[in-house]
Amino acid sequence: MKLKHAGIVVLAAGYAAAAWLVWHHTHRAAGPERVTIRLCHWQLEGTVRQGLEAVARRYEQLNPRVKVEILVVPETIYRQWMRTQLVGDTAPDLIEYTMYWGRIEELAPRYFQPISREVAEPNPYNRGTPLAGVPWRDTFLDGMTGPDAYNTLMREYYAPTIAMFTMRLFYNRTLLREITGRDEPPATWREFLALRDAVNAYAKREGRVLSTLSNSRDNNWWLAIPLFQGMGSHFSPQLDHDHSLSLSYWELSLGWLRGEWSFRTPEIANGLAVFREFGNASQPGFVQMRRDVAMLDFLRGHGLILCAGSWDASSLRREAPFEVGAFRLPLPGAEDPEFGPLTLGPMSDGSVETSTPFYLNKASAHPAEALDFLRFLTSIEGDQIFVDTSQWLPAIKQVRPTDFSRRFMPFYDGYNWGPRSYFDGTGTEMTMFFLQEMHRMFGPNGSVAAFQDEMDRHASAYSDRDLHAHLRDSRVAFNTDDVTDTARMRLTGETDRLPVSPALLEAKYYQTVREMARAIQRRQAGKEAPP
Amino acid sequence: MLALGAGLVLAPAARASVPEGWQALTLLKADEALRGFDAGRASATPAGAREADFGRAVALLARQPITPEQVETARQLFAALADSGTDDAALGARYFLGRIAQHHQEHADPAEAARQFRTLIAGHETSLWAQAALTRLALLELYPADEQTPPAGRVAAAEKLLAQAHRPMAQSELHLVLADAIFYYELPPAGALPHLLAAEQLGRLDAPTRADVLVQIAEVSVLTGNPAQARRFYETFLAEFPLDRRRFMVGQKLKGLAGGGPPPGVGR
Repeated sequence: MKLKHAGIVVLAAGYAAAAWLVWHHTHRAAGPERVTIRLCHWQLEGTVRQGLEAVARRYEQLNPRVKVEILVVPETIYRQWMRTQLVGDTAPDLIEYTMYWGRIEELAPRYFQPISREVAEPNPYNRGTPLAGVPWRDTFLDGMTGPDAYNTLMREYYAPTIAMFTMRLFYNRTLLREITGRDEPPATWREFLALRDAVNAYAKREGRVLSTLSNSRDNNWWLAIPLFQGMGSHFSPQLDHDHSLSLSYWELSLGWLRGEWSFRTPEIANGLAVFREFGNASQPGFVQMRRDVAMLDFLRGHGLILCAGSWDASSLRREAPFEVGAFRLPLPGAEDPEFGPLTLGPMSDGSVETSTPFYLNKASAHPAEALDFLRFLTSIEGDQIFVDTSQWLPAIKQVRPTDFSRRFMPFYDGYNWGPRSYFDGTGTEMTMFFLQEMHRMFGPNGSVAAFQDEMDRHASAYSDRDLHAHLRDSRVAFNTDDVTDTARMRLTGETDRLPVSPALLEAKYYQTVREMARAIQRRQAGKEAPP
Repeated sequence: MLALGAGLVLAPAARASVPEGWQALTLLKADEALRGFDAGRASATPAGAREADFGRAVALLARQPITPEQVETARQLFAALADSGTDDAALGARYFLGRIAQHHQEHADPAEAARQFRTLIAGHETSLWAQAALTRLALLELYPADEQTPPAGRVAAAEKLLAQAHRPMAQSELHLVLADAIFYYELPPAGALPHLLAAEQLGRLDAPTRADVLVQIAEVSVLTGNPAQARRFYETFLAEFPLDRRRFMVGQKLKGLAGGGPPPGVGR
C-alpha cells in the first residue's frame, strides 16, 4: 500500500514539476517583460558555435528583456528540417540559409522578410565608432552586395552576413618537410605536379598509405568552384552579353541553352584536365566520402594536403597533431606551357564577398527584437566577439581578424567573373549530376573524354530540370510580389515604388522560356536529321 | 467552456478590419486577410466596400492551395470592380486582370494581358497602376509568343512606351528592361547606351544595380568609341564601389584606355 502511495506521490510531483516548467517557459516566452528569439544554423566547425553563443550572451547583457536561443542542426538534415519548420510555422525567428542551396526565388518571398529599408539606416550599435551614422549595408566589407545579402533576382536586401571565407589548400608542414626537405608549398601548377610525384615516390619508398590530397565529394566540390572560375576566366567574356564584367546565373544558363558553352569548350576542358589531376592525387574512393572522412584522413597523416575553406581552419588548428600551413590553389597561369594560352591571370580569390547569412523569418512573433539582434551581431562589437571566438574572417569593416585567421585574408587583385562557376552550370540538378559523374574522370581507367561523353548524353536533361524549377519559382515570386507589394502599398500609401516584382527578373523569365523552346526545337531537329 | 474558448479564438477575427487584412497579406496570411476584408466590408461605406472587395480578390491569389477555380473567382471579382468605376480599386483591379492573364492563371494568355494593360494605360496613363503596367506590357512586346517581328522591331515598339512613362521608377525600370533586351538579342550595343545613361541619371537604382550600370555604360562606351565617357564611368565605379570584385578588371580597362585600347581577352 505504502509503495503504491509513494508511486502516486512521485507521479504527482513529476506532473506538478512538468506543469510548472511548461507554465514557466510559456510565461517567459510570451510575457511582455521577456521575449525569447530563436536563431538556427548548421555551423559545427571549430569554435563557431561558441562564437555565436558569446555574441548572444553579450546581447542579453545589453538587452536583459531579450533571451536569444541558438539551435544548431547538422548540415546533413538542415534543409529538410528548416523546410518542415517553415511550413509548420514553427521556424526560428532568424534562419541561416544560403542561396547556393537553390530555390531561393521560391523561399524568399514566402518565408523571408526583405530588409532593404532597414539596411539603409545606420546600425545603432555602431554609435560612438567610426561607423556611426553609416548606413547599415555600407558597414559590411562587401556593402551587402553578395548573393546572400542582396538578392539580385528580387532586387531586395535580405540577409546580413557575419563572416568571409577563402578557399585554401591546408598542408601538413611536418610531413612536407619530411618528404621534400622544404617548408614552402607549391606556388605554381607545375610545382604542384612535381610535389605529387615526390609524395608518390615517398609513399612507395616508405611503404606508407599516403596521398597528396585528402579528399571527399564535399572537398572536391569546394575545389571545383574556384578551379572552374579560374580556368574558365579566359572564356567568360564570351558569355558576358550584358557587358557588366560579371557572369550572372542567367548568362551561364542561357549560354548553356544556346550552346555557347559546354564541357567541350577548350577552356572548360582544360579545367577538367586540371580537375582530373587533383582527383588522381587523392586517396582512392574519395568521391564516395564526405568531408569528415577527408578531415580525418588528413589529421591521421594519410594525406599531405586538404582542400577546404577558411571555415575549417579553427577545427584544423584545434585537432591537428602537427603544424598546419595553408596556400592558394596553384592553378596554371599564363606562363604554363600547356594551359597558358587559354589562361587569364592573375586570379583573385573571388569576390570581396561575405557569407553566413541570417534571414528574418516573415512569421517571426518578435521581428523587432530579431532584427535588433541582427544589428548587434553585425555591429563592430558583435562581429569582433564572433571573430575572436570563431577564428573566422570578419564581415564588418573595422573588425580585426585574429592573428590566426589573418593568414586566410582574400587576395583581391586578379580577374574574377563573379560567384558563378561553369561547374555550377544551370543550378542544383546539374551540379549534382556533375558530382555524381565526376568519378568517370579519375583513376587509371578514367578520362576527361569519358566524363564529357556522359555530360553530352545527359546533362541537358538535368539543366532542363533546373530551368523548369527556376521558371516555376520565378512565377511564384512574381505572384507573391503582386500580393505582398500591393498590401504593403495599401498600408503605407507609398507612391514612389511600383507594386510589382523586379522587371529584370521577369525579363529573364521570358528569355529563359524563349531559349528553352528554341533548345527543344534544335534537339528535335537534331534527332530527326539523317545520321 | 469550449464555447467560451471558441469565442475567445474568434474574437480577433470578428474585430478584424480592412487594414488588418492588408497587414495579414504582407505576411501572406491569406485566410486571416480574408476574414479582415469580409469583416471590414460588413460595416463599410460603398468606397470602403470596394476596397474590401479589392482586398478579397488580392487575397484569393495567395490563399493556399491556389486552384484554377480560386484564381477564376479572383478574376471575376477584379472584373466586376474594373468595370464599375474609375477609382483606385478599379484601376488596381484592371492591373490585376492583366497580371492574372500574364502569370497567375495556369496557362498564360499574353494577348489578354496586353489588352488589359493597354486599356489601363489608355484610360489612366499617369496612375500608379498604369505606370506599373507599362513595363509589363513592354515585356510582352519584347518577348512575344510568336516571333513574326524581328528583335529590332520589338525593341522599337517597346521604346515607344517610354513616352507614356511619367514616374521616375517606371522610366527607370523601362530603360533597364530595354537595355537588357538589346543585349539579349545581341543587337548593336550602342542602342543600349541611351537607356543605361537615362537610368543612371534618373537616380533610382539600388547600389548593386548602379554598380552594374556604371560598368555597362563604360564598357559600351569603349565599344562605341567614346573613351572619355568610358573613363569617366570606370572612375565613378571605382570611387563608389571600392570593394567590388570587378575593381581589378576595371583597373586593367583604365590602363588599357591609357595605352590606347582595352587589354586583350577581357570584355566581350
